[in-house]
Amino acid sequence: MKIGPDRQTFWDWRAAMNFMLGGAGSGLILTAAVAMASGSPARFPILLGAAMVAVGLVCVWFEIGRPERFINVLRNPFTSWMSREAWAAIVLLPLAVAVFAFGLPVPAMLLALAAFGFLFCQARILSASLGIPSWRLTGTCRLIVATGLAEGVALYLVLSPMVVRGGFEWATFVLIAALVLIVARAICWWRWRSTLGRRGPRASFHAVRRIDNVFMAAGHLVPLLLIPAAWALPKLAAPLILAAGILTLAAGWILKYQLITRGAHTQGFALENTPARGGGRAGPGIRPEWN
Amino acid sequence: MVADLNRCVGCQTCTAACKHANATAPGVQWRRVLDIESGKFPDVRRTFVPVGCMHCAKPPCMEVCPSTATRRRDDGLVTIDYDLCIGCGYCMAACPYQARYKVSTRNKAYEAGTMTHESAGERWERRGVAQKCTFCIDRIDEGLAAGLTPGEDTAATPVCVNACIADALAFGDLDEPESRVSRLLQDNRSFRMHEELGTEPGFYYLWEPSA
Repeated sequence: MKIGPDRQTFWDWRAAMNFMLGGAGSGLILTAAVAMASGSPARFPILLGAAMVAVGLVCVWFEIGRPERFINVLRNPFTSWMSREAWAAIVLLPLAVAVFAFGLPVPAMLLALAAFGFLFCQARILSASLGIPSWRLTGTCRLIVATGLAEGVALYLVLSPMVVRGGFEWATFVLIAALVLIVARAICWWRWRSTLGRRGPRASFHAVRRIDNVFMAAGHLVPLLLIPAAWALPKLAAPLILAAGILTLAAGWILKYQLITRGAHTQGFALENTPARGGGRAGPGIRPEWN
Repeated sequence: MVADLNRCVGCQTCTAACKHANATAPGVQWRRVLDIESGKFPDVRRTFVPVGCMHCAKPPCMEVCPSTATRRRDDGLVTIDYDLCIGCGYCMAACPYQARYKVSTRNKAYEAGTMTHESAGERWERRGVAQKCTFCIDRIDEGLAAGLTPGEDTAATPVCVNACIADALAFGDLDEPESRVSRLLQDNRSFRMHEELGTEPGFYYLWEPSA
């Protein structure tokens, strides 16, 4: 039996999909809502974002042990962030469908608020998991929110050719927002990773360190070069923006998949003191496999 | 509950008694005994540590539970309502003591078929939902109803405590100053696991007699 932190096995790729699709989907709805407020096209991104959120939740439905009782997830919004996430989805999805299907004049800020609420609940689900040290770190919530927002903007960039027919006339704020969010996510990641290295299980740290290169280089440095390049080279703007969006989105998904399925180790067991057996003396405490 | 680390010999009788009484599925151990080797030669140690649900005063599993299946009774026991639980596993992520299990398969040890005792002990209500040590809550409730004292009368005491060959486990009411567990805590130095997390576990480990 393992004494130190052990990789969790109760949440697999299906739970990771909820965080990947739900984070990117809610981020996309939020971006689209802001775009809508500024008069840019937003109906299709809102529908896609809602579909992603819904598919993510369906993935979780396939993971729970008693799917026929799924409605019970709504019973504890008072303390459970999973319950709150479900309630946020109940608000978000009908709003998004109303905007897309019926063109209802839902206030953009209301939609943005609902999308952010869903994203925030997802982040808090992880940070409230006291038994998984890499999730409960202070910076986890910031990291998940930052990557969800970055993924949403990135996805909006990827969709731009379909959203704006005949060109790439998206609002400048989306590009600037993408730059800001990519930088913000890199800072959040760096701080979170440093904290994990100092105060986390070694196995979790090693697991997340494996994605360092691809996450930072391909997911941050390259997009940070591509977006300004798109401004400088208008003829190449379309493929450059597309590449930046795909890389930013993929990096976020890799991060979340790694964090949920590979970089999540249990607390493990620890003793404050070891006993004085027989005529011996008491010994020091033990906490195996922690930094 | 109190576990005297000086006394525990790691015989796993408590584990066996728990499995026998609660008919837990293969791989599920509501009461486990860790066998921990520590130190460097020649100063090495071997410590046996009973673990399981700590029945925390501030149970993180209860806080995160979306279905309200996990609750804490007034007497401090943390319970799971199998009929409400959706088996989301969130409580397993919240528990820092790895005390919770979820089993979605039949209660059998071998692929070939189910043995008679396995069929007899099949607990369908536990399938696909969270489960953990209950401190033998049925024995406690029935014992109290019969006017017995948990921790003093074996019929009202968790089976792991009754089965312990080394008298390493003790159970009782910490609010009662004259109970055995209260006296043990007065006479020995103790700690609770992962106390820094603020869960206020109800499981104490004795490691040295008080000076």
